[in-house]
Amino acid sequence: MVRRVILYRFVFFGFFLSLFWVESALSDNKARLVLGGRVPASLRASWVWKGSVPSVVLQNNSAQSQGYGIKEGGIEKVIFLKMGEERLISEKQFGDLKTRHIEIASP
Amino acid sequence: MLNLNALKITTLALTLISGVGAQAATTGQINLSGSVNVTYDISVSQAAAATDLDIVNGESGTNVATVTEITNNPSGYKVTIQSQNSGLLIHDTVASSTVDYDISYNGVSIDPDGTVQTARTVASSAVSPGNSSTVTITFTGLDTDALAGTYSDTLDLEIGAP
Repeated sequence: MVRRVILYRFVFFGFFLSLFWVESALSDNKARLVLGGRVPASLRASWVWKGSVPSVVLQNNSAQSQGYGIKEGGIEKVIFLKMGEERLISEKQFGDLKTRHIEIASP
Repeated sequence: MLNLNALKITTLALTLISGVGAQAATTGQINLSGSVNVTYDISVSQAAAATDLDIVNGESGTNVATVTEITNNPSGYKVTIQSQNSGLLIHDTVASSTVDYDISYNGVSIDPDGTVQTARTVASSAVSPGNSSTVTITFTGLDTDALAGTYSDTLDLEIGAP
């Protein structure tokens, strides 16, 4: 008997829930406009002068830490930058930057 | 015997009265009426730019949607708008990274603040088959400081009585 009452209540509730769902689905006095844009992950590199020493500033704009490989003169070095971190690559870390080409890419 | 006569007289009187009444009803009326429920309809046609906004360089008066507003209410209608992110395009994973934007609805500037704001009111009986409103967006870009990821917001629009 108790089970039957529970079943009836369940069916009753489901019936009105379905009515509400149908009403919501048919309601067309509301609409939605989605706005959005995307910024791609990138590693920005720019030359700066630290006094008379040319250096490279690397900046990671990703929300996650990323590793990047730097090739210079046949030497490859991977650096990791955290979110929004800037790293100054100078000749102390990477030899003489004055006359050499540096290639930066994701490893 | 007296009661029987009284009953006869009463019956006769009622018959005469009813007969006179039936002869006097030479006209009549039939009331005919019907009703039409008030309906409202709003639909949004999004432009491709709506979900491809230039977060780095910003946007200025960029068309993001055309809204079609329809009602049969002779008193007109009102369109309200509400931003789910209080007028901010929010980064998908870093909520502190945001872009504050303004919109223009049918030429009227609105700074969405998260509350229900009136975007357009039309008090006219001539609203059929409907009106169109253009929605544009304007914001200053984050420039090179832009954090990689997706920035978004949702605007809820509703049409109803003015």
